[in-house]
Amino acid sequence: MTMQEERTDRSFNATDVRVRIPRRAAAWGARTRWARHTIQAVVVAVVGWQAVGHVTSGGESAEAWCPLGGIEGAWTVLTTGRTVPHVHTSSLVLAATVLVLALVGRGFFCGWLCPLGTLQEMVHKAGRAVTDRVSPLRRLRRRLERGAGIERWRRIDRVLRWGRWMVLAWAIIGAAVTGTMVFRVADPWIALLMVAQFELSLAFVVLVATLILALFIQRPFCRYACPLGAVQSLAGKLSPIAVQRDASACLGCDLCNQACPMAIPVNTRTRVTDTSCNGCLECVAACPSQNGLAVTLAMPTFRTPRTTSPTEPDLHAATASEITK
Amino acid sequence: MRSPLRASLRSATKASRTELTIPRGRRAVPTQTRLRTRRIPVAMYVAALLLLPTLMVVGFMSAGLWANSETTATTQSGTRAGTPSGESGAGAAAPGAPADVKGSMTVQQVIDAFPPITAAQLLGKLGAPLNTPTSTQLKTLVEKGNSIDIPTLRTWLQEQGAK
Repeated sequence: MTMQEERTDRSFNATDVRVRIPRRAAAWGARTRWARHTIQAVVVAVVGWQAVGHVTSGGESAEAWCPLGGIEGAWTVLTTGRTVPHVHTSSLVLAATVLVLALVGRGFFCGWLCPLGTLQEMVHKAGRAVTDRVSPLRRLRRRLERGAGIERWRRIDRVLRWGRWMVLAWAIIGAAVTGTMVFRVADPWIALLMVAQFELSLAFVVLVATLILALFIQRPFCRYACPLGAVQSLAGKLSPIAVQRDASACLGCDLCNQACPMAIPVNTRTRVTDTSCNGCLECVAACPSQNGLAVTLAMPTFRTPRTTSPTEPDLHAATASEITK
Repeated sequence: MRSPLRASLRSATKASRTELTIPRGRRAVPTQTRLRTRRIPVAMYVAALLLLPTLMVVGFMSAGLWANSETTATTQSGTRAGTPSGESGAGAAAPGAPADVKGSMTVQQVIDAFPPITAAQLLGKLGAPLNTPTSTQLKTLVEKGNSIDIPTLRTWLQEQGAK
């Protein structure tokens, strides 16, 4: 039995009811996406200007804008009072800012601000545009997409997702022990900031590999290797903000699952509190139902979960009839 | 095979612009959460989460805790001349020990921090012409010369200090 069938099967006495639910305006999702892409473009432009300015006119170091540097160097700063080479005070400020942002807004930084994430999204969309036009590539992509549904691939995906925790441990412990930025040699963010210098390094190779993978997989670095994303996942566990699904208004159309760049099965969740959620709101934008998915703020009070049993009246039948009226 | 849900979605799109229909036999379970939640408009969510980091960075900047390579250089030369440091990078520290020396620091900053060392000695060590301006960053000289890097320079400064 698939997850979809299992979810709908539990609606025991509703087989003969047609539920009419309010539809969201078609332009709503487009507006949300447009807002996100505009903000991403602005951030990429600012960081790009900074990186190019550093190379051409010797302006401030592009690394000063790296929040991960602050997280890596935090231990050394706290214990010795000195910064690790390549870590600026601004990196520490940005690290603190990103952590607070994660505490409040979960993965908002990843989904709306991170230039590396933006670049991966752009490459993935370009890849899709190309494969849509070239039939052998289109067939290959469909085969890969069908393969993605196979349990073996899901298991590999789950294992690979541990990668970012390992990278985080390596980056933080390595920096604390050696007093240097050990992850810097393989950091695609650094390669991206230094891209105008045309240096062939391990970081550059990782960046290129990430972008090649991004043609086939959405946000591969974010899913499998990003230590900054891992830190935010931990902080985001305390966030009161999350996307919430109203199951009574959910069509089960799976559009949210398909839209999620991190492959979260949104339509099986009540609140999307997964550590990999990057708060991009693509699922919310894709949802055709007005009340299906929404951004919600959890209040500090709790309530007892509502339970349903075959002996209880079907509360949703009433809702359905109200809506039909 | 065509999904009945998709077909329903398509027909609903054609039939009505305002409502959708869940097909017969397909009902979702009620939403269950232990939390009391409230919907937030997406515009408010985005605006608040953009405002938060902006305010934090501006706050840190005004508290003098924002320093990158450029502001470090200007702040330290300004502080040493006895003038109040500028708004940005006011908290940047001078290199207290040779281990603190970074490529982004200028020649002047290093000779100010380690008095026995003269500009001529330092430039000589870096393999740079003696008429090089002391406002030049160390990393620029390191990149131009091919004899020394920053860790070696730190070791040399430590040796000079020990003498």
